[in-house]
Amino acid sequence: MASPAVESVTLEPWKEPGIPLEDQYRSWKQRVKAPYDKHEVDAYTRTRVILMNGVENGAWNFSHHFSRSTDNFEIRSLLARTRMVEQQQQTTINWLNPADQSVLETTIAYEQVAIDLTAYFARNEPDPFVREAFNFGLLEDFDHLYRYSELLDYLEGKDPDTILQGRTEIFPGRPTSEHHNDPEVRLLRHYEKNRALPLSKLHTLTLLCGEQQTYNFYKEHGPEYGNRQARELYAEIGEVEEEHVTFYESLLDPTETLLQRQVQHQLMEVYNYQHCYAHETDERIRLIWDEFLHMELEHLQLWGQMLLKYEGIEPEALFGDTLTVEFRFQENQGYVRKVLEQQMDLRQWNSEWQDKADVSSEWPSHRYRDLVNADGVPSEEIVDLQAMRQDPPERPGDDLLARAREAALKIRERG
Amino acid sequence: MHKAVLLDKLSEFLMVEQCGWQLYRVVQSRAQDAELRERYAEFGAETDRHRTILIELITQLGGDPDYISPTARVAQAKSEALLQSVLVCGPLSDKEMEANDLENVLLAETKDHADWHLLSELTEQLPKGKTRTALENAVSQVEPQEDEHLEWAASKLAALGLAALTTEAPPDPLRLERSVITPGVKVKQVHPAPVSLRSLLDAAKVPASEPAPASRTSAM
Repeated sequence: MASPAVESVTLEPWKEPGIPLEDQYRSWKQRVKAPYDKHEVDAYTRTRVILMNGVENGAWNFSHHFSRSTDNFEIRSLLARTRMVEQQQQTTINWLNPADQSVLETTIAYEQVAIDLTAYFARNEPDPFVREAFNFGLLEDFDHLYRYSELLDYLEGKDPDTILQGRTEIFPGRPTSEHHNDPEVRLLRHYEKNRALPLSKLHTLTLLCGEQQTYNFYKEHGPEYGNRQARELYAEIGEVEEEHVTFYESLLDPTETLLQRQVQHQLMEVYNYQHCYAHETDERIRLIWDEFLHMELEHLQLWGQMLLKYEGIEPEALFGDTLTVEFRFQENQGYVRKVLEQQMDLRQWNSEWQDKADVSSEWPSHRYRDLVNADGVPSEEIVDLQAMRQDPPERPGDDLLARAREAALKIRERG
Repeated sequence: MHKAVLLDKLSEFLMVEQCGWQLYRVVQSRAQDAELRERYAEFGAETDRHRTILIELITQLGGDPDYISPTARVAQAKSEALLQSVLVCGPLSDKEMEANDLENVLLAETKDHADWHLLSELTEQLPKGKTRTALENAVSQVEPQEDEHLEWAASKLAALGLAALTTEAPPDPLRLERSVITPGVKVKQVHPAPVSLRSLLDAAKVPASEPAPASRTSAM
């Protein structure tokens, strides 16, 4: 098994010993661990916690969907047993977030996950079409980070960079006001399950789980604010996350069977726990990743056996004998800047991208956008509210946000 | 002849063989009848060989065996749906499961047989040359075995069906009741205060502003 700080690791996921399933359940005291210190935690430890919470919730959600669609007791039984472990893991992971980390601070970290995960995947995605889909989504999450950063400063007077720690830049991307589409517009061509490389499937499913979790988080916590500006901004960006879930899930091959998808989910969990384990700098949390990785290896192998039993196919034939994990949370600022320069003005239609100057007047999103933006756009209003404040820059970070605001206003003027 | 269409068809036929081989692996592993197990093993091995013959044929004709045509995808989805059928619908007795597996084999072999029959007919129409020779070679090796697979599956399934109808003990009539809910019977049997549909409707008609019935039983 890997040791920390290695560049990439190749596993034999179908053979690597795991923790027996009957030894995986944990007591209340074992599963709820002390949270990290929000002032001390490394930004990428926090992103790992957020990502793996989403990955576990995604696996849990799919497991229920599968269970509702099968009448095979052996499969339902294994689903129930592995799902119970998934939800215990999810508790351990999500409960690592401390109570003194505000919803908005956590929101900033959610967007950091989205940016540095999507950017890295895009840089390493073997399928050019899937890569362009990732680049397109990247610039939208990049803009969300900026809008929420303004809200954090406005509501809580906090510097978002205390969360981001200089790893992820705060700057406007493709303006959020232009992320709102006729729902059909977001649908993409899907990969072909026999031809797509396993890495493309793992990238797509990981991002999908991340976006789904982000959607859930914004929809759950948006109404907890009394401030109307915050309530509206969470509503606006929450809907974009719905579009992102539609967008990424449309990449999946619909002919993948439920069993194949279940194995894919388990492999995706192994993939993600492996990089968490390999790159975690907090020794206490690294041990959690190590334990959960070995739980997931067991789940993966059990589900691989089910695939062989009920579909007559070895999981290795679908996903390969080995699994190479290269991902790590790292800075992608240069890459994001480059994509921003080249693709900020792209718009999506008919599973393709074109410059907004070339988009036809028949584009259905024109109508939808006019409708939802008719009475004002919360993601623009927060910029205006902040621009109207006459406070001189006092704290580190004020100048960065002011620079981003200036750029956002120029982008709006340009149209 | 449209060569591109032929290559698309061969991709589809290769997928049918691939999925057929998977089907034989699954049904062989759970068959209890000795003849079924033996035949599945034998036909599975032959199907595996047909796969190789098709790969060689596609290569000889200048195609790529890794190419998957649109109709191959449909064939794959249909074959996988055969296996999914028992995952979605349950429960079956062991004998019913065995018969269902054999019925899936019959359906798969019907398609497989039709594929090779088409290739045989095409071969007869082709002028002499490399393509005809390659097809003749493949068809001569495979078609007799496909005839045997189909005939055996049909006759064996009929035999299993007749036995189920006449000589074998019938399956447990309550096997479905163990996995589905039938409120009309079950609730009365297990619920200490069964609720009739009528009393539920009456209670639902009471305006929200008025006191609710003390209990469902009192409203009956």
